Parts: sequence; C-alpha cells; structure tokens
Amino acid sequence: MIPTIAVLGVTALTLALGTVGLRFARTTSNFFVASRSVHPVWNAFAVSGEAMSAASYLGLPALIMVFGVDLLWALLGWTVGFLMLSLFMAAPVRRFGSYTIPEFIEGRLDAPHLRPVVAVMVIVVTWFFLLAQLKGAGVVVQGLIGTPYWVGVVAVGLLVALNLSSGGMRGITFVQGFQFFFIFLGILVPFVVVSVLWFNGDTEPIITDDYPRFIEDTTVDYRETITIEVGELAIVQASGSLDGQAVDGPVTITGSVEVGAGSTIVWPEGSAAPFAQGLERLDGRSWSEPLGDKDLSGGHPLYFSLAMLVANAFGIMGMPHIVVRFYTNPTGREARRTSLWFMAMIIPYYAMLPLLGAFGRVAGPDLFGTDSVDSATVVIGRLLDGTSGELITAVVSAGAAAAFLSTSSGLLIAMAGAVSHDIMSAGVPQFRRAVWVGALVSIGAGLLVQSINISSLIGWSSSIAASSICPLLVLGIWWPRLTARGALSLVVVGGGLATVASAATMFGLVGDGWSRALLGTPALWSVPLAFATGVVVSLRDRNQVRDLGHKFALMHLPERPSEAVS
Amino acid sequence: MSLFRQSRRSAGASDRRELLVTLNELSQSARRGFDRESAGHIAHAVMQLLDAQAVAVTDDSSLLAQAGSEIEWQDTIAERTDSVLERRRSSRPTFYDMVIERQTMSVAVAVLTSDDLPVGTLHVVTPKDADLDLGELEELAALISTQLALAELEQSRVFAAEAELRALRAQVSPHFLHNALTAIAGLVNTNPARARELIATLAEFLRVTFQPKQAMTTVAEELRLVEAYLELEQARFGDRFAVRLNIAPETLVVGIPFLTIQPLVENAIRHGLEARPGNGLLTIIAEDAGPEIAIHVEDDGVGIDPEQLRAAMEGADETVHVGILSVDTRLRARFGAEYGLTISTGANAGTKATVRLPK
Repeated sequence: MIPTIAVLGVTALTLALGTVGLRFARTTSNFFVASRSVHPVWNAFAVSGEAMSAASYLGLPALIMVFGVDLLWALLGWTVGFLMLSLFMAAPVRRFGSYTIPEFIEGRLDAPHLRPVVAVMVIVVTWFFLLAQLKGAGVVVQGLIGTPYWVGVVAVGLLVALNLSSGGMRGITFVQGFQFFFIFLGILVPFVVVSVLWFNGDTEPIITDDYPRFIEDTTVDYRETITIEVGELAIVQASGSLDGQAVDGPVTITGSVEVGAGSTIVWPEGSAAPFAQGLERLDGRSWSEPLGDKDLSGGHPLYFSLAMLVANAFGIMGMPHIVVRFYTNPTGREARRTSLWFMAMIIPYYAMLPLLGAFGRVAGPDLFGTDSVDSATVVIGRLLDGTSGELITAVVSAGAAAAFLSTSSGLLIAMAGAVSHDIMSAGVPQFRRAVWVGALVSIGAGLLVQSINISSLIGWSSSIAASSICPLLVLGIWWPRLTARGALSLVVVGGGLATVASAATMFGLVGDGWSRALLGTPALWSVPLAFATGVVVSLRDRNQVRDLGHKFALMHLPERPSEAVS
Repeated sequence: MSLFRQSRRSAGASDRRELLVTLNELSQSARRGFDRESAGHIAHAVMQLLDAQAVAVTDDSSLLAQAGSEIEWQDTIAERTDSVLERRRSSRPTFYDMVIERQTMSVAVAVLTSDDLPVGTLHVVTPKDADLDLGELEELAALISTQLALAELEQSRVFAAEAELRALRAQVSPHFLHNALTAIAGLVNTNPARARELIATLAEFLRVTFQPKQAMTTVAEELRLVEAYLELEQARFGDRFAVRLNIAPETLVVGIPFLTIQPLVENAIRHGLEARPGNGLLTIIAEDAGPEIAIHVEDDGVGIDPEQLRAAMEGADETVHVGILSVDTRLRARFGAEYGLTISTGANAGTKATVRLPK
C-alpha cells in the first residue's frame, strides 16, 4: 500500500511540476530572479534526472544479479562516456548553438540532406531506449500492484504522451531536477540501510560459494506458463499445474518443470532457487569472478565485456536526449561546469548500484525462476521486516517511477522533436502529433519486449548511438576534414550495420556462439568501422566544407574574451 | 503501356523536356543569389544549353566558376570582364578570340545584370567554326538576370526588416520618455534616492535600445530590457497594474530578434492597461514546447477591437500598434512565415500576444 502511494505521489508531483514548474515572480523587483539563467548545479540535477534512467536503476542491478561482476564494466563504460561527453562535447555543441543533433550536423557540414538521415538515427536510438523505460514501467507496476505487465506499459506511455502533448513540460529543467532527488534517494536509502544491516551481520552473506537459495519460506505466483530448471530436488507446496498435471499439496520436484499459468508454489527456506529456462545458474564463486566459462553473450564473456565497454562509453556520447540537456546553459563554460557537477552526482549513484544487484541475489531468488530479474532493485525491501521493509520498497519504487518518467519524457521529446523539427516542418501541432505517434508505436512495441531484458534494449540503443551519432559528433567537432559524404557513409555503414545486427538479435534470428556475441553487442567492431568509414571517405572526398575557420572558432573559442582569462 | 508511349514519343519531345529541365535548374540556381556555388551551377547549365566547350561566370572583377575544359584564363577573363563592363550600355553580347592549345576559339561574352545594374559576365567558349547564336546567349543572360533580380528582392526583404528594427530603435516613444521624465521629476524632491535609481534605469534602457548593429539577442537579455522598461512605467502608474512573470529557465538562452517582447509589453500597457478602470495585471510567460519555446504577453485591459487590430497588422493603420506590426514582420523575416505573432483579443476581454521561437 505505502509503495503504491509513493509511486502515485511521484507521478502526481511530476505532472504538477510540469504544468506549473516555471519560475514565478509577482513584482518587477523579482524580475531579475525570474529571468536569471539556471545555476550549473541545478542544471546538473536536471541532466542527472535525465541520465539516471530505468536502464541503470533497474537494468543494471538485474544484470549484476544474474551474471555477476563482469557487468561492472557497464558502469565503467557509462562513467567514461559521461566524462568524455563533458570533456569533448558539452561545451562545443552548446557554443555552436544548434538545438538538435541533426541541426548541428546540418550546420557544421552545410548539408541539408543529412538532417533527415541523422534524425532517423536519433529516432532509432531513442526508440530502443524508450522501450527499455516502458519495460521498466511495466515491471515496477506489476511488482507493486500485481497487475499484468501491459498495464504499466500502457499507463505510463499514455501518461507521458498526454502530459507532453498538453504542454505539461513547460519547464522540464525543474521537473527533472526534482526527479533526480527521488531517483538518488531511491538508491541511497536502501544502500545505506542494507549496508548497515550487512555490516552488523543481520542479513545473509552476499558472497558465498553456494547457489542462490530461498532465505525464508517463499510463496511464488506464476502468472504465465514458464519452464523452470530446478537444480536440486525440493519438496514444495504447489497448487495449479506442473508439467501439465493438476497438483494441490506437497510435491517433489527436480530437473526441468513446466509451471502452468496461475500456479502457486511455496518454496521452503533453504531450497535452491529455480532458474527460468535459458538463464544460466551460477554458483557464488563463478558469480563473483569475472570471465570464466560463463554463458554470457553466447559463451564469450571477454568479447562481451569489451564490446559493452565500448558501446556504453561511446553510446553515451551519442545519446540525443542527454546532449540536448546542455542547451539550457547560457554558455559553453557553464555547460562544462554543469557536466563537472553532473559527474559528481552520477559517480556515487553508479557506485551504489552494483551492491543492490548483489543484495537482489539474496532478497529475490524467486526472480530467477519467474523471468523477472528486472525487479532486482525493487525487491530489496524484503530484507527488512514489516513496515520498515515496506518503507524501503516505497522509496525504491518512487525512485524507479521518477527514473522511467523523467527519462521517457526526455526521450519522447527528443524523438518527437526529431520527427517534427528535423523531418517535417516545425510547429507545435506537428510536435504533438509526433509525440502521440512516437508514444503509440513505442507502447505497441513495449508490449512485445516483455521477455527481453531492459539491459539488452539499452545495449542495442547504445551500440547504435555509438556507431552513428557519436562518431558524427566527435569527428564533426574535432576533425575539420569531415565532409558531408564522409558523414553520410559513416551513418549508413556504422549505424546501419549496428541497427541491423540489433534488430536481428531482437527478433531472435541469431544463433549461439560467435554470431550471438558479434551481432548481440556489435559495438566492438561497428564503432571502429564507423570512424574508419567516416575518415576514409572524407579524405577521398574533394568537396570540402566551406567556412571552416568560422565554424571551428564558434565551437572552440570562449564566448567572451574574459572567459579565457578566468 | 508505358513502353508504348515511350516508343511513340518523338526524339524532339524528349530533347525538349531535357531542355526544360536544364532551364529550370538554371533559373533555380540563379534564384539563390550570385555566389560561387550558384555560379558553378549556372556555368554547367549554360554549357549544356548552348553546347559549348567551356563556360566561365565572373562577378564584376574576377572568376567565380567555370565549367567544361580546364582553361587557364584568369588573366584573360579579368581583362575582358573589365573592358566589357566598361563599354557596357549596349546589352548585346560580343565576341573575342582566344588561343587554347594552339587552337583559336571564339568566346562570346554577355553581361549579367540585377535590377539593370551589371553584376557579372558570362563567357561562352565555342570552336571558331561553331557559329554560336548570339541571340540565344542574350536570352539566356536575360533569364539569369531576371532571377538574380528576384534573389536580390528576397535579400532586400530581409534588409527591410532590419531597417524596420533600426526605425523602431529610433522610435522610443516620445510619450514614454515624457512620462518617465515627469515621473522622475515628481520624485526628485520627495525621494531623491529613488529618482536617482530611475535615471540610471532610464539611461540603461536607452543604452540597450540604441545598441547599434545587433539584430538578435537572447530571451534573458530581452527580459532585462523589459524589466527596465517596466520599472520606469511603474514609477508613473504606481500600483495601477501588477506584473506576474512565469519563466522557464530553458527558454532564457534561446535567440530572439532584438526588441520583440518589449514592444508587446508596451502595447499591453499603452493600449490595454492604461485605459482600464481599476487595477490591472500584466502576465509574461515563457515556456518550453519541445523544439520550440512560446512567449505570451497577456493583459486584462480593455482589449483591442479586432477590426482595428487587423488594420494595424496589415499596415493600414499607422497611428497605433506600429511596434507589434514590426515584431510580426521581423519574426517572419527571420524564422519563416509560420513563426508570426498571434494575438487573441476582444473588446474588454484583454489581449494575449504569443510569440513562438525555434530553439
């Protein structure tokens, strides 16, 4: 009950702030305050609210819970990505003065025909990312209220679209700034509480050599038919159907079992947690050691780790909804300060996340067997009894709601902006229409991705961004020789191949082994390929971009002479 | 079906179509103005149309672009261009000879004009015996000249909008100045500190308004100007109207034509609130709308008669609302037709002016 209220509260606050979240002043004497630009720290709150998404909040602990320490590279990748974004991109993009990435590319390369092409990449990237947020919404609402998965997806998708199209984001900087606090608290509070318990020895140890086990008698409701692998023979209380036979009472189960929809199984304390078919069952030792012969990415954990590192680091630099947030800064210098503060906020956040995944392994062993590891963060409250546990769940759920609401708003704005601003003619009615089309398409697809992990969706989004938008921006900002033709081939080769590989994996067209590794996480080959294509084609292209001196001065020189001194 | 039609179409028809396509490309390039890029397109099209060996396009002094065989004719061209432009009066093309790779070629020169002023020349190289029709060249030059004139017209529309801004700057209403100074004069004895403050504000307002050569500013800067303006107005009106602001911070960095919000505020006070009995409220809202922002200036004053407003927006009524007409013109000139000013009003229903700006 308390968690549900918390989620509804955060949602209501988001809507309210979106509508009235402008800066008020009642008299002329307050004019100055109202028309002063936002402090870099507050801007950093907003960027953090945008960047801390359901992907990291729910997806990362889930991955850690299943695959273990290999996934720490994911966090490192994101952190490096944000650092590179701060160092190399925030200020020049801001100084150039373009609002969207397609607009920047058009201006930088004098190539109007590139604008729709880049806009399409923006749409693809944000769409995959948005699917992940909607998946997160479905999972959280399902875990809280027990509604079917689709309810959360549809409700949140419609809510965000309605809010945006009715002008509910009139001051998005404030909304996302506030959401940052909920997200951060949602991770900080359980982290502190559970860590204290752990140090006092009041909870189960998180690293053992053993397989995950139920720490108390646990009742698990199976909403959909699922095949589970029971690692060790167990005597359970079951009602419903097992392997097609109706059961009601104590049953001995082991091996591969098909649990019918609507069944309930009570797993006794100490029994080994069952795993959904296809999910690798790791003991504590291999979970806590990197590489080895894990099943990760078709059995190639080293390739996967490297590819994910590249995808995350370069992908962040090409995330349209993040890059756009720096526009609110009045100057490039302020943009840089914002990114410095932002780093100070996101690093502790990333540092806390993995522990939640580790605790999730203790708190939610049933998640392995219900294919719902994406709830790893939300079940942390189970480690505490009664009301205190429920309060923790409330804080975590509120944070999750803030995470997927703020990020899906930002993504939908970026996506609809690309459609209405860069492809069609600009205008508010077009923007609203684009919001609705984008939301409906995403909701529809969101319903289909129930069986796909949030982290896979994010992985594809990052790989595509890393192989298209990121090289475009990096070369566009730092390499004068880039030409329109080079940029186009870069997007077609890098972005195109990464998109095809991701889509093929998503639709299950890829086998196992190397093909799964190479196509499932294409970044390790597609990013260098994209950069190389851009460079080679540009060098062979005789149509140089004109007015380069002016453009580079605009991007790289401080706005005011005084800035250079201070 | 299509095969059938293809076979029946005469060679002449497809030639004609190709000709029209090239002509169309030619006029579109010229329509974009006279620079290296368009000159390149022009040279190519002319070469195709006249079946020439090479074509060069110059501005009034030097080579802009050439098409066809690579010819080192910088010097020849400069010399010829000068002499042609000097002798100009007759619009007829002339011939000169040039030796290229030991072959004597004949070069026809036509003058390109824009609004009857010579802006450049067109050199067409053909073999000596090719017998180029000077009449055709003359017609082509005329066609290009017409398009160049149109391009210039377009340009001058932008200039006109800028000129309008200059006029608006000079036009700080005498009414406003008189009122501000009177209000300050009234305070000199009773509240000298406040009077001093107001003089400083007036000085700042005038300084910013008369800032030379700046067509664009940011919303934040423009709001600063509005602030100074409102402070001076309120010195006179006192509590007759209150001001309410609602500003989303992401709108502050957006570029806006200089003197866009201030005329709207002035209009709201002058034609809305001043004539209203009792206390009024002026609201300024700047909000985020995805790829755009929207700025609303709203008053609950007497409103404007829609007929009178229409006359003002069409430029027929010169006496009032000159400021808002100029805002509309400059917004359209800068951002395109879909970014004009919208005003909703009615007699005694207040007035709401909305400006949309792309980020």
